[in-house]
Amino acid sequence: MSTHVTNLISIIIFMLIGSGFVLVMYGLVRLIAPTATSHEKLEPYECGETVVGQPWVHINIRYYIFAMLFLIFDIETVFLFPWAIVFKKLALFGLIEMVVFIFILLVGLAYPWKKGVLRWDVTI
Amino acid sequence: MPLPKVNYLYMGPELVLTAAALLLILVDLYFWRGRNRRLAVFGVLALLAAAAMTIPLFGVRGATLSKVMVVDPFALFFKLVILAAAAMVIVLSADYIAKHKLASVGEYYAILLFATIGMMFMAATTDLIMIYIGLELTSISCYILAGYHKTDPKSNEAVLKYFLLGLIASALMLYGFSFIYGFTGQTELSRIANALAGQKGQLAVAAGVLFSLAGFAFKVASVPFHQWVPDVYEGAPTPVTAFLSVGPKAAAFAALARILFIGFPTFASTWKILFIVMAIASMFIGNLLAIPQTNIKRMLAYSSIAHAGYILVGFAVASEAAMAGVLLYIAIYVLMNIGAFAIVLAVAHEPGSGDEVSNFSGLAKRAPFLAITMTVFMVALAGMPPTAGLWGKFYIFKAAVEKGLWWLALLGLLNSVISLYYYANVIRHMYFLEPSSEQPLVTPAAFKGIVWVTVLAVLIIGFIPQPLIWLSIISARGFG
Repeated sequence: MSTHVTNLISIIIFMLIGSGFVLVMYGLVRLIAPTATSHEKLEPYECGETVVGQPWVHINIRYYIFAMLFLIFDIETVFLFPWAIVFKKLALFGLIEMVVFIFILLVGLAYPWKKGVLRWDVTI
Repeated sequence: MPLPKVNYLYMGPELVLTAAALLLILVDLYFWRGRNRRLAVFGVLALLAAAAMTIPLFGVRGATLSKVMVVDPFALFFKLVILAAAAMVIVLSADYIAKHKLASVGEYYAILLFATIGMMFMAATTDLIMIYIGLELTSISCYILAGYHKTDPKSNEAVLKYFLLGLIASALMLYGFSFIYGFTGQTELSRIANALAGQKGQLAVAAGVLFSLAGFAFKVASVPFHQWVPDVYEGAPTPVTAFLSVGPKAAAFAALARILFIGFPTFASTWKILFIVMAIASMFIGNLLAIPQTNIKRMLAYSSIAHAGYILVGFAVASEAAMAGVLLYIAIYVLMNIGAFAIVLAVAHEPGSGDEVSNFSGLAKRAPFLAITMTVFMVALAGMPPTAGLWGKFYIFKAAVEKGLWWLALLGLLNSVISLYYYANVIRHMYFLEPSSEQPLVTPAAFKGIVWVTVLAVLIIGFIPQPLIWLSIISARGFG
């Protein structure tokens, strides 16, 4: 019985210290930090480029799809590198597994390609 | 490095379905281009092929890929239930898609197959990581399906609510899994049980199980994680609602049973009170809130919350007999719920009609077949003889009485009586109110076929329940 009670107590103490720490830090900042507001303080980059225009620019929705397509190849490399290191040990089995994996990813590429999202002049 | 020994036969159904789903996308892209009915037939054939590969595995008990994929009667039982549900939903979808002219037809069927694969993995794995992957594959597919009515604001609302609340549930569950892994160092359930055997009832691990339990309670639509259910069920396309009300629910119950009875054999008995509270709350809130509903999809949503409550009674009892009752209940629930939704679809199929209970007014005069079968399904959902609905409730409550929880069984019975009120209201509308038009209702053959299949199954199991009871007792062996 004692072990699980101590387990629970340590979790509760951890939670209390964790949340207490955040509260104390916010309180300290309120108390001792000097408050000086000026126009420069509100700039996104205090020392650097002067900001031009509004941050709310329209970005074409197509970039979003390109980002998703990039993800396909991203995942592919994540798995290809470790696979390449143990390629000799995995031998034929590993090769077949990887071909299957890449084929599944290829379907993911063929789909948007055929749907025409890679062409800039087609309306989605 | 030893190569992993993979028994491909053990995951044959999943492999077939995965290949079929990918092929379906490609075939739709390059050849059929939204040929609705052909794609539906393709999907049904793929599911039948997977079922054909599942049935011969009965009798086998084994595992492959270091227990990521387990083959036992429990897994196969759920796989068959899920495959049957998915196949019936695809048949129902074809006419619905044609009527509402939904876009991206091929993707619809492919995503439905992906959701099915996810559920099959959930039912057949004892590894926490694979349970989570299966759950996410299911959930993400279901989010997309719930929002398939892209131009309908209700569908958009449904998918947004489902997605945001589902994310929180998944995150909670994953957080719970991380506790369990952190304290035991294992992800495989039987090893977790071994690691815990020395130190009984660790509270920190119990906290982890509680978190994951909250996630599962969301997926099975149990109180207090039920708020999303009515809105999502109402807004989602009706075939998808039928799918959501049976598929993810069955799979989540399967995974929950594995986690509880294999990973944490003492949890269910120690935390019995938790399941009792969840069961009672789900039954009462589901049934009482179903009464004032005027939309039949919302009514069935609340009724599905209540049914989750009945099934949770089985988890509260936590005996092998109760788990057999749970399996029986889930199989029967799938049949009667899909049957009921098929009739909702048939009634709403007419131009100008909708999903309101008032649309059922005078149905007996316009479509006697649909009216009589809907009566059967309503009686079955209320758990009355001579339908199969009786047996599911009977075996769960019997197990509860055997374990001394007779008052819980009594509350369950009381709830069956409450539920009869709103189920009978549909029957009243069909038989005692006047129809809005005298013309006979035209029903597509696919809807009629599914109604025939489910109503025959519900009645036959009602009269001859022994084979299914035998199957569920065998499948539940070792659980509880």
